[in-house]
Amino acid sequence: MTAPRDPRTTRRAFLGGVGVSMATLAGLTAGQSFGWLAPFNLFAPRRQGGGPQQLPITRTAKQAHVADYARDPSWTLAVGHGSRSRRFSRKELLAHPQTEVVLPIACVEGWSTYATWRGVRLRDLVATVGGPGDAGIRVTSLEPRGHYRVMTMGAEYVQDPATLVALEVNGETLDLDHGYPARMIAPGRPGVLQTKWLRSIEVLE
Amino acid sequence: MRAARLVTAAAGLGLVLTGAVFLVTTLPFRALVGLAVWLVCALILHDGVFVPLTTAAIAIVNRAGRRFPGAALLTLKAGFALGALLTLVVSIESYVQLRHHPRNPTILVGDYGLRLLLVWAVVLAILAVVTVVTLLRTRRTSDR
Repeated sequence: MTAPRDPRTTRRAFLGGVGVSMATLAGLTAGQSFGWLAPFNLFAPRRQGGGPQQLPITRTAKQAHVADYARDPSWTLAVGHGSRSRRFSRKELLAHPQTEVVLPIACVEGWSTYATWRGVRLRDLVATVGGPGDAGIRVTSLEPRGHYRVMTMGAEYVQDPATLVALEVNGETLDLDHGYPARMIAPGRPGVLQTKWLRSIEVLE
Repeated sequence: MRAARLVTAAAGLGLVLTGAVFLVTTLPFRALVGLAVWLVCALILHDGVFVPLTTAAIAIVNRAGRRFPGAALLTLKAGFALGALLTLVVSIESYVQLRHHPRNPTILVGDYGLRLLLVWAVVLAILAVVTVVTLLRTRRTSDR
């Protein structure tokens, strides 16, 4: 081994410096995803509990050009299975048995925040049109365009008792930016697949 | 020692190979092209911009601190590296977020410039204390 050119720069010092830098950077940003680090979150773009109803937003209703459709009082959610189909207004969805779950929005952009969601179990809605237990679904948003306007979901998520068509978050009616009049919330899926501003649910076979 | 090195090297290579296999078998061709472009750009940026800048900075610090004890110089370098890293990450992140999400009220909620200045102030204060302490300590040992 040859001696380093600058005797004052050692491998240990280099690794130590890089390690301290990385730990500091992580410590000052990871608070946007981990509650116990939230007080030290100086530099992350989002804040835990920031945003309407204590939940940040990646794509606003304005960005998605969806506000007019979502506010339309004649909105209904279409649930279809082959030739069978039903439409539910928000009022009718609220009349179904409601389930409460605590699930995170875990965004691929690096933030995640837990929230308390309330709504109708997806599997109950699928059952109203005779959807079988092993069927996946295709969900379409009111968004006129966007990479995640159409989302598909396998049967394992559809049948999960924690998967909801959510109508409320943190005790209030969903904010327009959180997907009013109704959105998907399912465990173990990235935020981009928690489709907001629902238009239709189709059972696939 | 030799055996430990061999084992860790083999484990590392194994992980790299596993990653490469999954990359090629799971990503579409377009994503792989995008990844290649990203890596080449990173290489150009690293070797063309960051390496010359840090080499020059280290040379200046070494020359200016010729009479400093080694430990003080190392702390100075580490402190400036930390500050530079934070500045770089915060500026790039803010730029990217502003470009992708203009007018989203839940993003970029803090006064990042001010916070960056404060963190720099803390880093510089710690550096000053460490440097003075190291200087005093070496002077005392050499006086004996």
